[in-house]
Amino acid sequence: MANSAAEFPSHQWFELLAARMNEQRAKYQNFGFVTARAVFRIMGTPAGNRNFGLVFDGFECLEVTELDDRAIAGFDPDWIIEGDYATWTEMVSSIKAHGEADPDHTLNRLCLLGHPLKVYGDDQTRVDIFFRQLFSFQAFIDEAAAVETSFA
Amino acid sequence: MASTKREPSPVALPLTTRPRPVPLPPPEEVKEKLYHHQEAQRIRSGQLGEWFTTPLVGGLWSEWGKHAKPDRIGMTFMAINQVSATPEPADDSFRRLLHSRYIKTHPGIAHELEEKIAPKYGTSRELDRRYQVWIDHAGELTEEALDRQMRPARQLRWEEMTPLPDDVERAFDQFATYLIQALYLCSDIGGPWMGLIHYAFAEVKSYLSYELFDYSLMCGLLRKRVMANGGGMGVGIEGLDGGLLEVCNEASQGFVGAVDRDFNAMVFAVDVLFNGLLMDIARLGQAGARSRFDRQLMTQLTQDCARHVAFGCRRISFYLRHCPDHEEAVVKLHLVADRLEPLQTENHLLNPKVLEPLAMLLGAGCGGITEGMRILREFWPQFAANYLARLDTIGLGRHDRCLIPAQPPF
Repeated sequence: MANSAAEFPSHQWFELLAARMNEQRAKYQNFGFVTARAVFRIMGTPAGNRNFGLVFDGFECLEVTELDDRAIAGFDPDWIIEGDYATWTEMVSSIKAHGEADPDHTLNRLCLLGHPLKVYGDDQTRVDIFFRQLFSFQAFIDEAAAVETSFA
Repeated sequence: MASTKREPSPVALPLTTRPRPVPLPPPEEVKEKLYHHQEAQRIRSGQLGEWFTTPLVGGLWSEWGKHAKPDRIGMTFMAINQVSATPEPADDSFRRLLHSRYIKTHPGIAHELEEKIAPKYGTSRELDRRYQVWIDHAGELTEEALDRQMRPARQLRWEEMTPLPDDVERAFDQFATYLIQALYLCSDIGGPWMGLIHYAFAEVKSYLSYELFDYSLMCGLLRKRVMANGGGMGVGIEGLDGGLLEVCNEASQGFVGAVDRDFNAMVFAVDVLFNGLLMDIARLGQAGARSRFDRQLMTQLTQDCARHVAFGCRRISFYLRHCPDHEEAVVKLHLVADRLEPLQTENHLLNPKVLEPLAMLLGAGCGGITEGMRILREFWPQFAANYLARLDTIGLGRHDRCLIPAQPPF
């Protein structure tokens, strides 16, 4: 897999994660297939709020789209994960430092109390997909360990 | 020595008598009879049976010439249903004990006999109506249940298990002991229903067997984990079922007699409510896990419980949309919830043998239990909120009558 560098948050950064997922089918087959439309929402970046809609299907991330706030509902996400820029950068830096999320920076730990990250959506049974397929989403975000990330 | 006094059964069971054994005929007579059996004679004559002589199209054979192609996941139920003439069960009953929606009924069997061998209450395969059993997207959830089962040999590295301080190990072991009890409870309640579900609902039958496998697999893994890291099994919890057994015994009528059984009361109790709480607790356990190994176990448990909740929600949703008497179904389910919510809160969520070890894990040891309790208090509103949000989705809103406290009573 080629070395990769990108700024967080950006379309390119999520595309690099998607590419890493798609190149490692055997790894993701081990976790089980994924079917989700997800929005990663980073609040208060130097460029304002940034939203990225990702479509997961089978063992791949098929689509990465940057969305403005008004386009989120139209994207029809199963779940949205949201937090402020500082929390996201701390999580990404921690993953880079440890090779994967440490106990204090797993997606579940950060979302546990609804802060500093929260997972939500219009339909709780669709939000639950986040927990049904948690191994895959954690592995996906842990791909950040292999990305040379700079911050805005 | 165990008492020989028999406790009265909580469920009214009909008297049963053991039939006297019929004397067996002598072996020579049996062999002679088998030799002259019409099928044995046919085999000796070299003739092939009806399975081979029936026309492939228009006869008893079904769906000859189909070429299902693997989909993006593999050769799934969804893939074969793409080419199947019966991707979903029909909305009527099925007459043969061993007949599935994929196999034709034999025209040689008279209607009278069909009626005789049809599923009936009090026999196996009695759940034979779509509204009683089926769920939306059954194939997909069933494949997910199979695909997301933990492969311990591939996904767990026992050699990476981390020694923990004694107080943390003790807390994890108590937490695991509680989980084992809770999961076996679900397994024991759900298991006997399996055989009652008709083969027409093959995906649901498969799903339920995978759910039972989830419980057994996780119980085994937790016990191995407890026994492998310097600790041991913790203290058993009395009354953990918090009304589940009583509700489910009533729903099953003790699995005896030609009576109505309420599969959906059991699904609501075990999958929607109990697994919903277990899922939240597994998330807390994942957050409190002090080693990567323990975190993996708790992530798996979170996934398992979330999937069981998904099954429960889809089942109840389908039931409420298709059952013949929606109003009665809603009333019955609300009554189940009315009974279980306070008992689950009292015996499960407020049980010190559950809360204290969890708080100790979240606080990273004995000294952090106050911080752990603070986290539990802050998390508490999610128990009711997540459950109620699901009920809204499936058409059983009960914000006005939910008896799980919205705020922590401690």
